[in-house]
Amino acid sequence: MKNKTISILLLLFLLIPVAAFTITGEEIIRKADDMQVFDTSEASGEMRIKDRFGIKVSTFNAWSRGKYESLLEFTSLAERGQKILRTEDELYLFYPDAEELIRMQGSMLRQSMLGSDISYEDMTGGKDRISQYDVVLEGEENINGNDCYVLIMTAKVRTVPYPKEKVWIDKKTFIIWKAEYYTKSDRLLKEMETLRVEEIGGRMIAMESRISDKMKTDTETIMIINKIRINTPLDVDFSLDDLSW
Amino acid sequence: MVKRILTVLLLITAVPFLIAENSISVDMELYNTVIKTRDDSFNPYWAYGITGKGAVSFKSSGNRNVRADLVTDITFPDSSGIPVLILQKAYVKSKFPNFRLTVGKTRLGWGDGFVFNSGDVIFGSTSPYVNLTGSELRTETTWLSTVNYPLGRFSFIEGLVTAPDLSASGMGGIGDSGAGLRLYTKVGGVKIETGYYFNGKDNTSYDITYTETTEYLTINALHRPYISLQGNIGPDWYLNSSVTIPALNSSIIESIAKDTFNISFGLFHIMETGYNNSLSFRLESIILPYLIWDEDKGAAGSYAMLIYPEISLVLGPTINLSVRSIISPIDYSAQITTGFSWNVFEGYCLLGYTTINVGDGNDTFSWNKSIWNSGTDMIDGISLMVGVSVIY
Repeated sequence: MKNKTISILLLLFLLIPVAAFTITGEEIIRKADDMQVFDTSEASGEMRIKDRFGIKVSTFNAWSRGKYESLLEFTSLAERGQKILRTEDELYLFYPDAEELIRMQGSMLRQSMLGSDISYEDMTGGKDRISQYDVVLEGEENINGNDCYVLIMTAKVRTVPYPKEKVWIDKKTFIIWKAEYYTKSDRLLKEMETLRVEEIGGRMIAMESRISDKMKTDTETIMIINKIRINTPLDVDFSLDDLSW
Repeated sequence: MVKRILTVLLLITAVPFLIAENSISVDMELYNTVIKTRDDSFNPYWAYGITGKGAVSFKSSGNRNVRADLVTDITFPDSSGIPVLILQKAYVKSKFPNFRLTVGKTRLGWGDGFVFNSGDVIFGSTSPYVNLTGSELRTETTWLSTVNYPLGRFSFIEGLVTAPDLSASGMGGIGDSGAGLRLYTKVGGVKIETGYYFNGKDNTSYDITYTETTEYLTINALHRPYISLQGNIGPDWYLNSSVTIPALNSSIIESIAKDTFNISFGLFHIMETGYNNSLSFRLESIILPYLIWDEDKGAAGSYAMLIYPEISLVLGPTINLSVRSIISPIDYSAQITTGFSWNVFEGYCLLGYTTINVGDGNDTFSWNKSIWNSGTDMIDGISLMVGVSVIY
């Protein structure tokens, strides 16, 4: 009996440090999502959509506050002045030629932005992947010299664009270095790679990433952040006044 | 004609000065067009030509608190057969700490609706005769001044004065001006917009059908209140209503108000269909409940109900296919437009449209019109357009 008690105590002693330092899949995703949320941010960048006919470039300015509020203004010629204001559950669009405010909700948030591989939701943040996916920590791998957690995310709801995702998240910085997007039947649709990160204001930020369409040859979207400031005061209030200006 | 030439010369000579502080863009669409039309003797024949439109825009840049745009549109040809140059926009917006001021010629989007919008009391979006080949269907502008005052982040109040049509002296009578006010806010999940527009001069002839005998009247001063709601029930929905009340003390006020009372509503939903594609649905309708509910020869354009369905399929990042139609259910006629666009290169699209009118000669839309107005009618039943658009 005494030996048994000692064995149990020994086992508990050995397990405590493991339990104390084990991180779950949900916690990793939560930290990765938190890395993408700022008190405020102000950025300018460009989206390069490449296909077999060449490259189409859209440039933009973007502002965000917290998890859900963001404002996007396109500055490239074909879309100049078009703006998107995102709140927690709404999307407002402004078309300068028509001088028209359009309020949209629901499914519009998940649609492709300007025909790219990026949705309005991706672009404007506000993701809550823990409530949308079951997360399993599959293991660890090294991606381009970075030690990463490998996670499998399976959709719990039908309102997400991809039923299954596999993501590689940096063990130290929680940057997502790579992600693969699958159908329900495990067919690879898209692949995202982070090409360049920078430390800004104590946070690691993905400055350049590539999304490749695995169903087609020679098509990809490169998202580049040219300038970004985080956690500094903004002169926008994410209002209709800012949207229609 | 002299004025047109002077305007063009003015623009050309101004270009070097404008370049420094402006961004200049040209938006052009050119189509190979085949139409069924009528000759001088009103006999139908098939015509072919290059048609199109262009817009040159000079946008201000650099000043965060001032924005300006000067846009001239050139359409070729119109029914007269010659290119038409229009000053589409010429406005300056300025942002003050507590309000915003806009002065010039521009558009103002009141109410909700892609084709039918009862809330659009300034320009009117109730007519069935709309060109369905454009990305924006209602593009009319007017000379106006507005003051926009925010009431919180998602609410504002907007005051408006519109200038009268220009007379020979270059200005109109002050009594012919328009003025209005709207409130835009959100209550719960519903956007509520309500407003009022007074038009001091309106040249619309009202066909008074509510009275026993049909009368055609031109009424100058009009009051136009409206309300517009928008929300989501799975699809996004919108509902607008407005009425036109003559500003005169007369027995026909009630008749006019009944004839012009109109309600428009719409549903919009977008869904993913397969990999990287999306399918969107839009259904709009306008109802003028006191107009004609039974088919009647000669009543085209005065029926009580119109429907606009639209289905659009976006294939991948560059291809868009659409079917749009304006249906007049009372006389069983329709205009159906199928569209195709392919964004091949940056700023460059290949476009194609087919428009077919279905209906008898006296219907709202007809394959063979009974009455042909050679000054305004161009298409008799069908048109095919294949072309390009470019922005640079």
